[in-house]
Amino acid sequence: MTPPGVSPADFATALAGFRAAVGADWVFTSDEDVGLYRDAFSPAWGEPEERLVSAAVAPASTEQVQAVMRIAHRYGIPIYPISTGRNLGYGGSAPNLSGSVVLDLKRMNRVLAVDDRRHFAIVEPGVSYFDLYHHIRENNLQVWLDVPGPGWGSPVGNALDHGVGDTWGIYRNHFSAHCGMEVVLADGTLVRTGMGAMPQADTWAEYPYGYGPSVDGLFAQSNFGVVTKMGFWLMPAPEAYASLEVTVPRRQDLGALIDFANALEHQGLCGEPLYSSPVAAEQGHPDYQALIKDGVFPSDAALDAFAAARGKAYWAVKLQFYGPHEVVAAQAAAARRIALARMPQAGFGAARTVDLPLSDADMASVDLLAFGVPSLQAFALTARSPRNPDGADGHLFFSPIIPKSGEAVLRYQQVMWEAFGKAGFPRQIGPFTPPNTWMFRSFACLAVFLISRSDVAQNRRIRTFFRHLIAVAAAHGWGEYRTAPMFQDAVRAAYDFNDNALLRLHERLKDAIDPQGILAAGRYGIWPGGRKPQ
Amino acid sequence: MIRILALAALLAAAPAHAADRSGAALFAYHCAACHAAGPGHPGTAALAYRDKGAEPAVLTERTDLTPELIAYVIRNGINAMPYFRKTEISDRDIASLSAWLVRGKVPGRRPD
Repeated sequence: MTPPGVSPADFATALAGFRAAVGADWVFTSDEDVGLYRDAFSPAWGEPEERLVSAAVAPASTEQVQAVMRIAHRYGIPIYPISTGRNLGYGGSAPNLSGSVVLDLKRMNRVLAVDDRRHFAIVEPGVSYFDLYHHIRENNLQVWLDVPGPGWGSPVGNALDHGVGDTWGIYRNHFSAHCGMEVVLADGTLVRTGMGAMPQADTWAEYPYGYGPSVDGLFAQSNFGVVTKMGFWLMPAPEAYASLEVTVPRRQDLGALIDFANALEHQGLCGEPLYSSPVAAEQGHPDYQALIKDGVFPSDAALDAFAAARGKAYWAVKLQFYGPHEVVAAQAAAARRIALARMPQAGFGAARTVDLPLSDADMASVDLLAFGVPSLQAFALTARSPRNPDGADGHLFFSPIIPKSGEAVLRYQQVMWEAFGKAGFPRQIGPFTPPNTWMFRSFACLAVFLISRSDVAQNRRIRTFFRHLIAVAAAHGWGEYRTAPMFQDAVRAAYDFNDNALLRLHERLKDAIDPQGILAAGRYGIWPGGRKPQ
Repeated sequence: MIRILALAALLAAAPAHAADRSGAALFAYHCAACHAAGPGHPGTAALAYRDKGAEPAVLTERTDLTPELIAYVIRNGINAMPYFRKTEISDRDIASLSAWLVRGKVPGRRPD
């Protein structure tokens, strides 16, 4: 495969230049090697819609990234950078534009700094959460990470795709917790943002703005540069963890429960609130199956009666506290008092205190994500199991942002219930679906589609329905926070205020910074010259 | 680069990938998060469900692995396990890992 718009001769010359820049062993052109850059979870595996790669080049340093970009710039080679390439469920390592050359930054794997007195890290893109976690442990550094589900991802790559985690609010939003970047532009120019722009400063990872307009946001979910170093704020290792589960009996109590948790969290009194419905486990009960047999969303009264008959609270929220022992105990006590004052109907479930650092026994019994410990447990979602007896070949996330209110969650449940039912898909969103709380100031509410490489017809149905869901959600003001390249244009079309003024601004910036349009063309809907190739 | 390293009280820049290229170290680095023993390991859980006890679910205890099969799965993936690129694990590392995983194993005979 030759990149679109590039002559075979120019491509051959560029590849020779890449080999000279990074070493022949680190330029991949065989079908076997290049195939490893396909999206392993692609919902269009083997179909014309699948995004493919022409070659890959793997530099080991910023200087080599610059050299590669200068060559690409000279010959008009489309380049698609990846960090660890593990963005599974959101496109993996495959580009928007088929025929792009992947710039694989995995070899740039140095932990440049971890400071446990000022609480930050600076890392290269190929460093994984596992790598950084082990570095911290092996050096007995007193800081915590905030990690996403899959620990093999890159802090740099995850933050640049607006990834999220599960500890304390300001750390869960990984892009917000970043501080300072080093970026190679499409023509090879090296830029440092924030305090990194001042060569003598040693506050790169502490003061994010530096001086003048902050441009860091331009390099996330975009195609304006290749980020080669990034700083992150880290949480000091806390002394203790405590959790408290607060329950409410009825479906409509969700609003009061969310308002209560919002008030605590937005004051900085708790970490991630985890919502659930204790009655969700009863969905197989014949009484519930009778309630939904005609595909009708049951009434609140019927649902409340079902929950009461099963002896279960309708909603629960697990509040999580981090800090000194006496402080987390006081926070949990205050949360209990405030819950009863605001919601006389509230009950209390499990409460737990965990001494830190985690003992081996606790390590095996806690939700590791709440403790900043990376793992791959998230893949239980897709792996073979009694719930998924044949095993899936991948998953695809539908990830809309919704307001942090009970009304919004309950409305979302009904809208999605109807959309799934009308399309003939199993209703994975229903009366017991809780919101996801990774974002500090909004909810997401995910749907997950399991992908099969061999079932092309089902993959096509999923893609068609996914695009339909984007439109249904948009009609209610729910926009996806992140999506795979295949759907990025469709999601972008929903963010269309004032005749797509924001997209047009992005396109003007794109054309100014990367006039040849060689860098990640089409990423998040930003196409060079505003034109998607036919 | 120099400036970053000059930051106060910082450690020397450390390559994140383990310097130890032994099979055991490579298994710990690349495989254990999914394939170690105990709960919380999706690969182990998936193999336990698939094989129903015909073979141990933990990779280090299996007797039916061959270097060829290990290399194939690493480069082609299987179900939810994606394939690994050469920048993640080299062919030479796969050979070390495979040799360690199949060491002393006799097909059909469980390790003592």
